[in-house]
Amino acid sequence: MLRGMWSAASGMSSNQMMIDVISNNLANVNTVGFKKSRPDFQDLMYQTLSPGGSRTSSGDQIPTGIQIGMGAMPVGVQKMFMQGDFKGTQNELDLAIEGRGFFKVISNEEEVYTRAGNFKLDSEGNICTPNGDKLQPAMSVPTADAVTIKIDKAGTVSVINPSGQATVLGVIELYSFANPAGLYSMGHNLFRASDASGEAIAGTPGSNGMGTIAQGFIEMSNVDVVEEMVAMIMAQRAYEISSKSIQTADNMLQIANNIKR
Amino acid sequence: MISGNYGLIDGSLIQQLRFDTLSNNLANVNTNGFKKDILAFDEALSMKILTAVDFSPGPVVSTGNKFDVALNGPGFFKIQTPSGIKYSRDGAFSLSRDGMLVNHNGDQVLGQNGPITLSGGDLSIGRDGQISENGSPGDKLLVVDFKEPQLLKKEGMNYYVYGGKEQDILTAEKVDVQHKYIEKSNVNVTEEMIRMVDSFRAFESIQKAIQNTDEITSKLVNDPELL
Repeated sequence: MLRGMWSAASGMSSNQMMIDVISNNLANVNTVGFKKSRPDFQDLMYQTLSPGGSRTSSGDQIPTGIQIGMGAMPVGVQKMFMQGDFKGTQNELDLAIEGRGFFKVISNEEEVYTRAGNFKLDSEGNICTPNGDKLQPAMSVPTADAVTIKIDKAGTVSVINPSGQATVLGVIELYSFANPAGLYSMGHNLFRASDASGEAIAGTPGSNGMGTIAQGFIEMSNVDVVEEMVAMIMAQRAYEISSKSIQTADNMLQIANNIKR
Repeated sequence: MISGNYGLIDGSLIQQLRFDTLSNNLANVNTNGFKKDILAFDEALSMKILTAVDFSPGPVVSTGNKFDVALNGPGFFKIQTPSGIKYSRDGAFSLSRDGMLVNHNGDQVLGQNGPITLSGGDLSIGRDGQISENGSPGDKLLVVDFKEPQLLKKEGMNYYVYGGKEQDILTAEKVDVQHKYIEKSNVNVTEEMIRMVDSFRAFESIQKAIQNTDEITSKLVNDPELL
């Protein structure tokens, strides 16, 4: 049958995947610490019907042969770790990372990483995510007194009791990766280290290119709605165009079938 | 039988190839750095049809991603793949876990001094391809040009291989690298759709012509007055 029909089908499925990715980005436009994804495409293999550079009977060289492409395929969906906007919340356990780095939390007894800094306290005074995953290194805020929590740019957590005495609880460490785009997205704003991302490299906030911590701020989603809408229009139209190719192929085959009456 | 039919069959095969090419172009309307194919007719050669790549630039769009690089004007990135050196215009790169600048296939992007190693710090790439990290200059992106670009053969995966002589692969003197931008496909949808309609109608006309010759043959065979 017509090769073009299969090329068009591959175009449709690629663009369908693009819509999936865009929809997920748009759904997470208000998710704290969310990082958008971007699908990238490649052309599929080419069928060479006649190679370029061969000689004709008269000795002329054919500069180009006939190569027919077989369509497109998705090659990667990449997380884009650009900084999201900061929103001031005045909440003492809202932490935003300005620059590189991730918080480490323990989820299901596994070390995982997140940029979502909307932490809470559990009943035992542990600093944890809204899902209850504890921030690492673990720190517990005394629950007996009404204390104020103070976290500086370098991640030092101290509590100030009602009489004004400050006690240092510990230092929040940040973790960076050689290739953050290779992290495995687990959902719940969490990422897992993978072979592609490399091992987590620990560091104190503000040192060795690591970001700093801003208390009372959260990092919003880095999804730009206008950009996603433009991408969505492009994907939808591209999908439509490939469907037109299939219709055309169908009509051509119909015509061919009608030669014999 | 009527020899005209064979010419017509040729014609419809050509229109089918043309349709295949157009369909592939349209499927790659969102492929980074894709260059459309054109099916050309060359009467001067005994081989009547050939495909050529239209290397006209695609739109360059801002992405804000620090590993995206677009080439303004001619030139290709040189990529080290397991099956040898290949060339590409797709500048959507990333960092591998061992700190190499790689493309989406995981193949190393080559600089003037071979593979490019990065620490993952603040990356900036100048218009001349100079890579700096945290302000300190490192290697320079290698951009190549070809004496006979028509000898570039598409390989799929956004790659090209050069079928010409080794000495015809030149390091581009004047490059215009745009950091945090990406070159999109150069397929113009309107143009391709018009070509597709044109190809479709040509195919249809040829089929009508085949039917006509069939009718004539039928008349010749079946009309008693002609006997």
